[in-house]
Amino acid sequence: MSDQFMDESEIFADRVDSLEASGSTAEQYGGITPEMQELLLTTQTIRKTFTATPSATYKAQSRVQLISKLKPLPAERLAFFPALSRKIGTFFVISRPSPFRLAWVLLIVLVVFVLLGGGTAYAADSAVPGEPLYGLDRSLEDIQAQLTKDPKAIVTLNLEFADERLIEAQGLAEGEGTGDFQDALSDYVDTIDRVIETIGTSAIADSDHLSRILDDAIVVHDVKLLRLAVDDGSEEDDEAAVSRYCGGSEVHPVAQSMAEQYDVDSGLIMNWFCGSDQAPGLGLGQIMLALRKQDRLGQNGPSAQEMLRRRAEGEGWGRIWQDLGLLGKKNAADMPERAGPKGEKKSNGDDGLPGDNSSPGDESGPPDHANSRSNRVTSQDDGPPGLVNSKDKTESSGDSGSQGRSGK
Amino acid sequence: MSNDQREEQLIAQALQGNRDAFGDLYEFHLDDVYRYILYRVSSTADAEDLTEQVFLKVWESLHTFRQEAPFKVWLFRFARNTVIDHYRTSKNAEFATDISSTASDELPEDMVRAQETTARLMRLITKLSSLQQDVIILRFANGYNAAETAQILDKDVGTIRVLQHRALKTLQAFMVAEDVVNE
Repeated sequence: MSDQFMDESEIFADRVDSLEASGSTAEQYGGITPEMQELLLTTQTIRKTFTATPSATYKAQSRVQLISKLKPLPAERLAFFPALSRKIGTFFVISRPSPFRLAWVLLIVLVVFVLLGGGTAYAADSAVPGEPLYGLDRSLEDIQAQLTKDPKAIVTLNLEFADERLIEAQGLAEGEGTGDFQDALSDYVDTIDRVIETIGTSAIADSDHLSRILDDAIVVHDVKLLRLAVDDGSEEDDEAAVSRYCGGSEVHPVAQSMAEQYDVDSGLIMNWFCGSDQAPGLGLGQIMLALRKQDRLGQNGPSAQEMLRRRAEGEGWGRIWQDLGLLGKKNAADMPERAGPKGEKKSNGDDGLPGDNSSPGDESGPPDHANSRSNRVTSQDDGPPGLVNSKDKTESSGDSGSQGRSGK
Repeated sequence: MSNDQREEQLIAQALQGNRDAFGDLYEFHLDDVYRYILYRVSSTADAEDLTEQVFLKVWESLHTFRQEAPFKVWLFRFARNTVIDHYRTSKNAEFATDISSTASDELPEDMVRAQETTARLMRLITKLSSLQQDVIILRFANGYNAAETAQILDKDVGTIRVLQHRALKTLQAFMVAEDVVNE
């Protein structure tokens, strides 16, 4: 950016500010170039025409509708130690512990504070993987999680912990601590796994609602995961970041991390992320969840591709898992089960690349990320991504969470 | 009681779980948030849906509001993120200008012309970068000054001024090319 350009911008901004302050019109504004006057006129036109407000009907109904949708607030927060107190506060308020359990937790908290000092415990709460206090932070979380019994409280609590894992991953991405970025993401998905386990063991009536809570949270996490690679100092925003990663061959660091962790080709992950004319892209959080589930279920379960196809079609995770028989009861099938050594991941024909309309064995595929896929992923898809192998497709209900992707 | 004091009071009450107070807070900021979202997504139905989503997210995150920045700045960050997520998750969507209502005291003929200009301008604005769109809409549709816009977008004021100038110059060029005249 040249000084000259900066000066011109500054001069123009001053003129705009003066115009706003004086209430005069661009036509009345003298002593400026015709070009600048034209720009001032444009600002005036936007001000004059961009005046929309919600319709009267919407205004009349939306407040009531909004209030009816407000969920119960998370636990009351103590004024001290924001995140740490959240963990303790949630336990006290939501789980309604027995006097014995209450005393036990108080004792633990007291001992931690006496031995380490409140400042240390507070510092532990903001520690990132690789730092000495990180273990303490996780231990406090574990204690609280184990003592929380209400399924909704457990889900809420673990989603808060998942948020913290993402903040820690961001810290590591920005150079804080010595831990591994991939470990932080792995801890994140472990935490999400606990949410899924809770949903899976809750009553069917609750699991639908809890699944929606998870769906909403994952959408937010999608944005946070995307931002792990966005430099705050640049003018690049989230849309630009998507364009950058989807317009070339650069692999998003989170996609790279997932590729390494789950032994899946990074090009395949980037194609899921970027989408195509035939299939919309999906957030990194959604992809991570599908890969984790595939990894956990091994050959007994559906492929990540199948789960992502259904998610892209607007089905919520709850509905998908319900169809897979993973909700409403304890599921032995959902226990960790490795399907053979790494690299021998199943290739059942569901692993085709989104947007890949190529013939079986055609490795030319679409440009950019598709070019990087390896032979490990064997595409047998003939049709558009996600629309093949829909053998298990069930009638889609309104269980679309807040994703709304396919409806747009 | 000033608007700021009233807002502060409503936030405090909402934090205690008072849904009516949050409803008042919603009404207080509804027009502003809706307008920003509408001009970013160009669809009344989407704007209504996303506006609700913004306030639902704000409710669930209200406890994290630290009053380091004004509430409206914090609120608009949610609005912006919601719009970004909307575009990211529906990036293959066609542009659709669907503005069914505008508040105006103008005569019907003028209103029709204004709506036509609005629709054409909206179409042209979507050709700008996302950040430039944010600056133009926040500055001139929402009426926020450069400092407030800078806070919402987490940029410095100088950057906002440069973005504003660049965006308007680009928009001007689009307007000339498509024969859109200033009102």
